[in-house]
Amino acid sequence: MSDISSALPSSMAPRAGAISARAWARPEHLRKLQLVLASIWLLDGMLQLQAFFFTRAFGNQMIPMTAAGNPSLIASPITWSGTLIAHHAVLADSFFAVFQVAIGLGIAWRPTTRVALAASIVWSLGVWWVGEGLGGVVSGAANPVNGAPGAVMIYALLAVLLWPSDRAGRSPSFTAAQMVGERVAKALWFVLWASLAYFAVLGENRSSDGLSSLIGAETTGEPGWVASLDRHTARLVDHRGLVVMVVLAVLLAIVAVGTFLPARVANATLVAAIVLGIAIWIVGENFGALFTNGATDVNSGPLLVLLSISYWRRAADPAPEGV
Amino acid sequence: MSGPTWLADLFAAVMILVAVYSAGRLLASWRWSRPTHADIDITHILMGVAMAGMLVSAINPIPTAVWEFVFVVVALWFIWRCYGFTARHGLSGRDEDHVHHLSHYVTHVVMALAMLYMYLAASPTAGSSAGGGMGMTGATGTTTDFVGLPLLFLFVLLASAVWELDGAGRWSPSWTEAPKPVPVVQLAGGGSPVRSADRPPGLPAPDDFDEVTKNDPSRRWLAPGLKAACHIAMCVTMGYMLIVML
Repeated sequence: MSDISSALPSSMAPRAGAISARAWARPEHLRKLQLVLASIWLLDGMLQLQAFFFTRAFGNQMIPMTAAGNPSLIASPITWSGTLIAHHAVLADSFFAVFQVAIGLGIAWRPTTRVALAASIVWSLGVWWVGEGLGGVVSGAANPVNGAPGAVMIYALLAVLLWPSDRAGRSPSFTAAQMVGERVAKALWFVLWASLAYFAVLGENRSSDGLSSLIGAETTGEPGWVASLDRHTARLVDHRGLVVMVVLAVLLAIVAVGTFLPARVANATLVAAIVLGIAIWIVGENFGALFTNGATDVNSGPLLVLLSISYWRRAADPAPEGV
Repeated sequence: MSGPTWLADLFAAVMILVAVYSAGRLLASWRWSRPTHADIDITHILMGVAMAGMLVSAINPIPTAVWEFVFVVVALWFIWRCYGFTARHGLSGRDEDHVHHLSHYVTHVVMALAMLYMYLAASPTAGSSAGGGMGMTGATGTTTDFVGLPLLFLFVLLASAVWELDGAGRWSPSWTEAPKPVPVVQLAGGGSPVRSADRPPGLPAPDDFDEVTKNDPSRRWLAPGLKAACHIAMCVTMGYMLIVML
């Protein structure tokens, strides 16, 4: 959105209709997805600047909550980190915010894209442990409806799949396979969505009122219309938790295996994945709790959508004329 | 709900810098007769001063009602520019300078509306400056029912900042350092190469461009990269303010 024309003397300034700047190549599909990921990282960094995170409560209350139910080997470092963050609340949160903003801007600036993506993987793994208690995977509290197995794991996965690739001659049928190849990309997709299906029917998630309680408990701090949506949804699924979660698990399993199906069917399952991602984001995650002044990221819904788009099968290129 | 004071001060300082730079840019373009987008620069001055005043109420120069009027006018101006652009170039065309797309003007509509939203949503601070200043506060009154709106603004602004940064490579000096024997211009940042033969008549060759502009005093002040940096800074700062008001 800047103009090169202003840097030219008026004698060389462009006439109307003449091209005055270097023709700018529009970002290709992989780059567009990277830019969406960069925007999300930037948003996460900005969210970290909310007043709550500069207080001791962030380290004393929010972080230790993720230790609950985890074995001491996992929980102890979380508690220790929480204490450390609480003692240096302003310094720690400033660092968290700057680091995430830097990741977002780093991905967006082409010379640093690789460095930023690599940093995002390291950061995500750290936050998955300290900030999300491994997403409840070990404690048995994981539920895909509220973000299991942890949004940051999907950030890391996206960083790998959207890694810039300049391997000549490689033209996979979907963008996510550009770096790792189709076989690995499909395997990663299957592991993620199959695990979501598994978590959907894990332990407490199978109970008749588990889902209702989960959604009903999310009204705290939400604006009226979001809280109202939660209450209505909670009433709708009350005593139907098992049925809903089994249906959800089946849908997630279909999405998981969909990647191995022919392109047209695979794309149909990707549409289902996108719809599920949006539904989870709205109903289960309350838009990532962005309205509560306590959200550190957008949660998993938008990331599942972005991931699904990166697996979209492209139509085969038409054969050149005369061939 | 408000953020830390030192953070607001920091963002306010950045906004004042942006406003001063944009004013200098206008002056430089007039002094050295360089064509610039004056409406964008004026908007950046207004937004820079207004945001600094919202972040630190003591430096707000004019009453809130005046700012609201100003940003209604700015929004209407850029809506008119969008209409004019679409009429001339269609939805996917480029401006006369072949750099700007419709999104350039849409983004400024969104920025003006975001400013307006913030003025309408924030409650005036007690004991504020004589200018009727307001500190950064959470949204109040009926605006709390429209939390989706600032979120939409936020997404657009941050996406715009990212998009701008992605395009920043095209202003890199490396553009002029393409290998001489090969008649191509390598776009900085990995863009598609443009053959010399494809260069339009109005555009100087890279070496000519460098020769013409290297001794030009306006070159650094009017550098497109600086303008892009201002835009990114404004988007990030406005994004922060919207988040504080969520």
